[in-house]
Parts: sequence; C-alpha cells; structure tokens
Amino acid sequence: MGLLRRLSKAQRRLIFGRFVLGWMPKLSYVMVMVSFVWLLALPHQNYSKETYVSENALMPGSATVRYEWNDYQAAEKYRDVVQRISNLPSFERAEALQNEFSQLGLKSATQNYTLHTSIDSRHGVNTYAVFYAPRSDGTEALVLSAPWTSRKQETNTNAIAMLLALGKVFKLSDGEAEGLQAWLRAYHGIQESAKDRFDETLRIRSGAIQAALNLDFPGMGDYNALGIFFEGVNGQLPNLDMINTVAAITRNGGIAPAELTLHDELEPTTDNMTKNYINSLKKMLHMMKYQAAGMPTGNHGLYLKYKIDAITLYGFDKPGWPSQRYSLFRLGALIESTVRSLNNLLEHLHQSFFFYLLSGVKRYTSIGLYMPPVIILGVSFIFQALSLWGLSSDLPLDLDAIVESRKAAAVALPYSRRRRNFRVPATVISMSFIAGWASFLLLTTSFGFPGETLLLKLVASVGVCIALVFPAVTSAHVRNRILKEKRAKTPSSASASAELIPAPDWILLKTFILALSALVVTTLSALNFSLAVSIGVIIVLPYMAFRPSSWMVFSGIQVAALIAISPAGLLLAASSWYGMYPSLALSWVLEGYEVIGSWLLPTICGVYLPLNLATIIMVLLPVS
Amino acid sequence: MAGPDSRDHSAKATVVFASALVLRLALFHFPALSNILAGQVEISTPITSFKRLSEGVFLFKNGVPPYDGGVFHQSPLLLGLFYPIIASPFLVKLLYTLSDLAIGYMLLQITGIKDQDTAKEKKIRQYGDKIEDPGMDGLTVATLYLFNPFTIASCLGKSTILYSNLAVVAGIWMGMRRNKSLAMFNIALATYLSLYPAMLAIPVFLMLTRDVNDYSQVKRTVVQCASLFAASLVSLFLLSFVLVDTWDFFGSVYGTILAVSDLTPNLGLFWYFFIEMFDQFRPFFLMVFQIHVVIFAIPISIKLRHHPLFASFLLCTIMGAFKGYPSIGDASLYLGLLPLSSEIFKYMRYTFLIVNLFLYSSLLAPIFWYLWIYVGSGNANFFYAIGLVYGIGEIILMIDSTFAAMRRDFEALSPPETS
Repeated sequence: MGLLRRLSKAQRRLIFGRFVLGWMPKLSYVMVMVSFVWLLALPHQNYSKETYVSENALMPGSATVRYEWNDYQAAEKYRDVVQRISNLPSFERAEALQNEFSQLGLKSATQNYTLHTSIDSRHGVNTYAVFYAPRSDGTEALVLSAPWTSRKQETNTNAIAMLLALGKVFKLSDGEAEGLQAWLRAYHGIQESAKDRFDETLRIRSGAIQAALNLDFPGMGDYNALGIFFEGVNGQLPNLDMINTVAAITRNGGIAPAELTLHDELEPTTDNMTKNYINSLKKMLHMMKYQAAGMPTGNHGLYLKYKIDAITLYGFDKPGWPSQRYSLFRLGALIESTVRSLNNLLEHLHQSFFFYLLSGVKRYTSIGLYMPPVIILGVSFIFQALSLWGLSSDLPLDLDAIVESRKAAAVALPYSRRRRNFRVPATVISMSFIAGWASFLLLTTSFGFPGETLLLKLVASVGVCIALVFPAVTSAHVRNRILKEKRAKTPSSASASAELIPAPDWILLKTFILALSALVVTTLSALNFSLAVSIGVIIVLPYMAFRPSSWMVFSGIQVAALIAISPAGLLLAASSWYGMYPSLALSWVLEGYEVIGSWLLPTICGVYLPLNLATIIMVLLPVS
Repeated sequence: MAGPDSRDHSAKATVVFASALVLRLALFHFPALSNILAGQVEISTPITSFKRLSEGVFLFKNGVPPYDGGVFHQSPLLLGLFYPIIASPFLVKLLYTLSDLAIGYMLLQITGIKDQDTAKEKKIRQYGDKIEDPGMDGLTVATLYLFNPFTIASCLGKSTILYSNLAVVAGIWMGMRRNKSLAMFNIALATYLSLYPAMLAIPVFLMLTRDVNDYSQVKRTVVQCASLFAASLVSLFLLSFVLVDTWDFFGSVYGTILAVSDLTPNLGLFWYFFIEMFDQFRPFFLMVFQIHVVIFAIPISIKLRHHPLFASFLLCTIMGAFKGYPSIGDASLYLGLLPLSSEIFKYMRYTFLIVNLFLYSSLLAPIFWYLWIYVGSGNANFFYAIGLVYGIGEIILMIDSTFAAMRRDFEALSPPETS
C-alpha cells in the first residue's frame, strides 16, 4: 500500500515538475508581453476617464472675484518695482521686498539659510509675509509662493508682482528649491543640529498649511498657455482635486478662461484616433519621466513632503498657438478664485485620487488600471525564479525512470533532492549590495583632495564594482575546477551519489536575483510607480533570459547588454540623449539627493546597481 | 584529534560572537538609525517600547506612580532593571547587546544537548542506505539567530521583548539540561514579563521528563514543576509589589495585554478589528481572540510530545502570530528556535513562498506606514493588509514545518524498503 501511494506521489510530482520546468518559464514570457501591451494601452482614450471635482466643498469658481482694474494697475506698478530690484544681491532684494510687504500693512519677515552640499554651499534669504484673515481662528493657512528664478532661468517678474498685488501667507524663495525647503523646515519646527545646513527660525507664523500654489510666470509679457506641474519629490502627487479645481476655473466660460495643459507641452486635439493616442502617450511619458526622476518639477514638490497639496502654475507663450492671450488681469482672477475655492475646504483634501496617471489635463487613469501590469511583471519574475528554485533541487532528478522502473520504494522522496548550496549565491548577493553602498558613499562624500571631480568619483565607483566582479568570477571558476577534479578523483561508485551533486551555482544565484527583482519592482511601485515601471521594463527581459553560456561570444554579448543597462551605462545614454555632459547629469542627481532629499540616487546605488552587478557575475559563472 | 578540532570550533565561535557584538555596537553608534527603528510600530509595541519604559522610569524617579498615566505597561522588574542604568546610554546598549549574545550562546548549548539526545535515536535510512545527514551544528544555529535582520533591528530598536525572549530561551535551555527549578523559574519569569509564555511550561515540562518512563515519577515531577512555577511567579509578583509599592501594575501590565486597550497599530491582527468593533461585542471577541492564542498549547503538546523543542518553536510562532501586540522581536525568537529542528528542513515544501512572504511584508510594512502616516496618500487598510500578509507567512511557516515534522516521524516509523 505504502509503495503504491509513494509511486503515485512520484507521478504527481512528475506532472507538477513538468509544469514548473516546462511551462512556467514560457508562461512568464507571455506575461511580460501582456504587461507591456497593457502599459502601452494605458494612454488610450478607453482606459482613462474624464476628471471631475470630487470634493464638494471646493465649489470652484463660485465665489465672486474681487480682483479688479485698479488691482491690475497696482500689479503692473509692482512689476516695475520687481524688475528694478531683481538684480540686487539677495539680502538687499529681500529687504526691499519686505519693505513693500510692510507698506501694504502685512506682517513680513526674512529668513536666512545656508546649505552645504558635497559640491558647493549655498546661501540665500527668503522673504515671507502673513495676511491674517479678519474672521479666522488662525489654525489653518494657505500659501502662495514664487521663486526668484523661473523654470526658464529668467526672473519670475510677473509672479512676484502678482503676489504683491494680491494681498494669506506669501512666500518668496531665493535661489531654487533649497530656499523653500529651508522655509518649510523652519515652519514645521524641524530643528536638526546638522552641520551641513542652517535655517534661521521663523519669527511669524500662521496655522497649519492646508494647500499651496506656486507661481511661475517669467518675464513681463502676456502668455497664451497655462501649464500645470504637479510631480513632487520621489514621485509624490498632490490630490487630483488641486488640478481639477484649476481646470474648472480656467475652462471656457469660467472665471478666467485660459489654455490649460500639463507641463509645458501643447498638442493640438484632432479627430484622428492614432494622433490622439500618440499625444496622450507623449503626455503620459512626460509625466512618468518627471515622476520617475523623483525630482520635483517646481517648488510645489517640496510642500508635498509635508502633507500639503500643491501645484505650480506656469505661464508660457507658445508662438503661433491660436488660443487667447491673457495678462496679469486674468491671472489675478485665476489665482484669487483658486485660493478662494481652496479656502472653502473644511478638511484636508482627501476625496479625490492620490494615485493616478494623467494622459491629459482632464483625463486620468486610476490605480486599479495601472497597477496590474507591474504586478504581472513581478509575478513573471517570480515564476522564473520558482522554476529555477525547483531546478536547483529535486525536479531534474530521474523521476521518469523512477516511475517507469517502479523502484520508487527505494527512494524516500525528500532524499532524492539535491542539496542546495547557498554559499556562493549568498556571498555574491551580499558582496554586490556592499559594493552598491560603497559606490553610494563614494559619490556622496567629498574627500577634499585637489582635482576631485564628480566624474572621477564615478570612475572610482565603477572601479569598486569591477574590483568586485573580477575576483568573484575568477574565484568561482577556480573553485569549480577544484571541485570537478575532486569528483573525478573519487569515481562515483553508485549512481545515487552522482545524482546528488549540487546544481551549478548560477541557478541559485539567478533565483535570488529574480526574486529580489520582483521584490524591488513591486514594492517600489507603491512608492513611485513610474520609477518601478521604468526599472521593471529595463531589467525584465535581460534578467530573465540571460544565463551563463559556454560560447564566449554569447557571454560577451550578454555582459555588454548588462553593462549598457548598468547605472553608468544608463547615465551615459541619458546624457547623450539630452546633450548634456555626464558629469552634469550626475551632479543633477546628486543635487536632488543632497538638497531636496530625493531617493533616486540611493535607489539606484542601493538596489539597482547590486542586482545589475550580481547578474553580470551570474552570466560569467561556470556553466556547470 | 578532538583537541585541535574543538579549538578550531571555539575559535570560530569567538569570531561569530565577537562580530555580532561589534556589529551591534557599531550600529548603535548611529543614533539616528536606532531612533528610527525604535519609532517603527513593527518593532516597538505599546508593551515593549523603550520610549515608554524611559517614561516609566522617569515618573518612578520623580516619585510619580508610573502606572497612573496609562502610558507605561511594562513589568515593575524591568523598571527596576533599568532604573540604575538608564542615565547611561552606553550601559543600556551594552545590556541589550549582551542579552542578544546570551540568547545566541544558549541556542548553541541547546543544540549540543539535542545532538546528544538524537545520538540515541533510531536512525533514518536514506537513498542508497546512507544515514540521514546531521542537522545544523550549534554555531550555525547561533549565527542564524545573531545575524537575523529581525533580531538586529529589534535589538537596535531597544524593544524590551528581548528580555522575555531571553527568559524563554533560558527556560528551554534549563529544560534540556533537566534543571527543574531554573527551568520553571525562567518560564515563570517570561510569563511575568509578557504573560503568553506561560504556555511554554508544558513543552518545558516534557523536556524535563523526556527519558522518564516511570509513571509515578512523572506524576511527582508534574506536582513539583507546578509548584515551582507558581512559587516563582508569586515571588516575582511580591518582589514587584515591594518595588513599586502598589498592585496597580496588574491592571496596567496584564490588563493591557489581555484587554488590548491600547490600539496603536502594529503587525498583529487585533487592532484593526477592535477599532472597528461596536462596544457591546468587544468582550466576546476579545475572549475569542485571546482563547485562540492559548488553545493550541495542549493539543500541540500532546501531538508533539516526543519533540518538545519543536513544540516550543510552534507555540512561540503561535504567540508571535496571534497575540495582541506582536512585533518582529517575536519573529526573531521563533526564527531563532526553528533551526534547532533543522533535521526537518528537507521535508519542507514552501520555503520559497515563506521567505518571500516575510521579505515582502517586512519591506512593504514600513512603506505603507509611510504612505499612510507621512504622505497621507494611503490609509489604514494598506498597513493592515501587510499585517495580514505577514500573518499568512507565519501561518504557512507553522503548517509547513508541522507537516515536515510529522513526515519525518512517518519516515522514521516506516523506512523506505531497500530492494
């Protein structure tokens, strides 16, 4: 009886084993294809919905706007003032602005800050003023802010004039993001005794900031389009209702009609399906690019870190675009109306979506539709890993023979397994994680010796990685040869012991790599969907398909492909695509980490690079 | 031959323990890391948080009854332990590190005793009529405990579950050494610290009587052990009363554990239920949940009476999965006890799945917590879902390891016929 039961169990295992070994890898490639097609389908009209204002309390555009002709004239006057003081050094500029604010009867102050990064140190002065609403209890506040320099590196003249003319909390930040960062840290009382930054404490404050608008209207002219930037640090997004509110106010026949778009791209709408799809795809790719980079596309991104929903409004002029031009007059109405409707909020924005992809300013794809492809990608990694995990142990054993010869009784099943040898894969994985963090430390610390440049550090960190790969591969080959010789010396008496030779090391190593890749892609997708998708799409096919080969040329091709998708290779590719110097691109990433606290560099060095290194080593390991 | 071999072994042990010590002290050197870990809800629960302990000590030092505020829910003797040393951060860190090392050392010793025991056992034959491979040696078991990321994180986060774990492992060690009084004292101490380890009195009793065939002697041992256990527990309570001069600690320590009155989110299954629940149902479901934790003690001890070590692993896992305030400190205990039964590993079927579930939940829990609490784009459901995934991981671990242990028993009873 026992014999029969075991036999049938062996048969069952055989069937299962055939499925795992034969079909699961094929299935996983099918799943990758499904996932890619799904991702490409996302921008299509049928997979996105029209946005709508979800929070009823907002009532966009229903409050009467008080911004009138004389305010417009005042704004024009301020424009001249701003133009005059814009070329002064930051301290005097801040003083002059503070003066203007106090002449308006607003409580105003300045804030000094200093920030040391590994490249340089920055110093600047923020100016801010608080308008206490007459009948409020002072527990909540809205912020309007504008940086001195615009996206286009011009002076943000119109925006600052606008701030002066509208008379909530105002905030003018010096420099770029770091100014606002210093102010927000101080506002929320984060006092770290770190030696690398100094933020002066704020003297006047208001309540908890509910929402913020960041203005970016460069130059002194009029605009014919209004762009919305909304991606924050590490791919955080503001509540979709922020965008919906502005969209409702600027719609045709609204308070302040304007040509609203995402970012600074305008695409004509047509009846042509294909063209529409390509436009949507472009917009979505833009959004995903900004989100994956983890760098805020404007100062609004910093508010998001403090649970404050914020967007940047960006005015720009596209020559030849047929929409109506708007000046400070309509802009004033737009901003006032937006602030008024945010003022209506009874509680923090929470009604609408926090997880979305936009394929147009009025079309969104919700999380339920865009998450499955990433999950499918993760599962396809897992399927491959599972099949290799089986391969590393019991499945390739001669189950066929056992079933046919009916000698199963001699084999207790658990013993028919090969022993898994974890030593090599565990060492390789942990060493590559150490190498990843070492290169991270190398890039972020300044050693202070002369002639130290970023490019040099990059070369050094690549050197660290090579210093890992080379000995790992050679020692693995030497070890393999010794083991083989040992085996040859002691000829296996029974076929039994021959069958129990452990599987080659690369199988387990690849299992680990695939399982970790699945882990990285799926967990990261909760934090920053676009980054997770980009990583997943880049690594899925190489990591799944590559394996050691006895044919040297083939291994060479694989290693070359892996080097091309290594962080250094991607950096080179990106910098040549955008026509930048690699060192400039690198300093941009580094600045994001040190100034704004973006996680792109830690993610790349701490997660992506180790997996890449381990895969390179895996490809070069002995075949058997 | 034995001389150099054992010297080699002890040299290896020195390396392992020294590197564990250095690693912990080095990581303690970054106060930011330690503070972040201490703030994680997966590590510090209301009944094990070091922050609350410091609060209790502070109140106690200033003459305020520590149990009055409703913040402090830890045993008076922990208060007494930290009272003299809390002013010196270094001593506190050293105490945590050494306690962890002590657990590692005891696991090493337990493996040694177990190996002597199994030497007498009937051998299982395998493929080609070889004798079953020996399980992991003591040093590997200790290494697996000392370098388990859960253990390190829990130690750095200064979760006081460590002392309860110490008492549990000490109890098992003494049980294996057939030292009745110390074994029972340690289990009583663990019970005193976190209540649930009372269940372990049964497997430890089984360890104490593992070679005794005389029924009347077993009966005598039962009585002895029960009275030793009760006496130790009562004396610990009396000692506590002497220390804090009030019986308030009963309600504050054991009342909180039993009634789950502090609903700070954690990895467990209780908080979400009891936040949602109408008050009139609370007592009923509270009873159901709590009985569910302890109800396994007797059936498991009966079924696995020949494997008391495995039974205690299983009971610790049940505690870690189903109690009101579980943390990864509990996981570090049962994952430390699991390799003591390493001979069952080859029968386990879902290792890959279990490892993945633990990996995913330990990465996603902080991420979802961050999305919920800091970013505000997630909500409580996200975090609780990960608690469920973690729970599933623990449950599959229990099912699979129990299957493996049963399967090995079966294999020993009916060895494969060699033809």
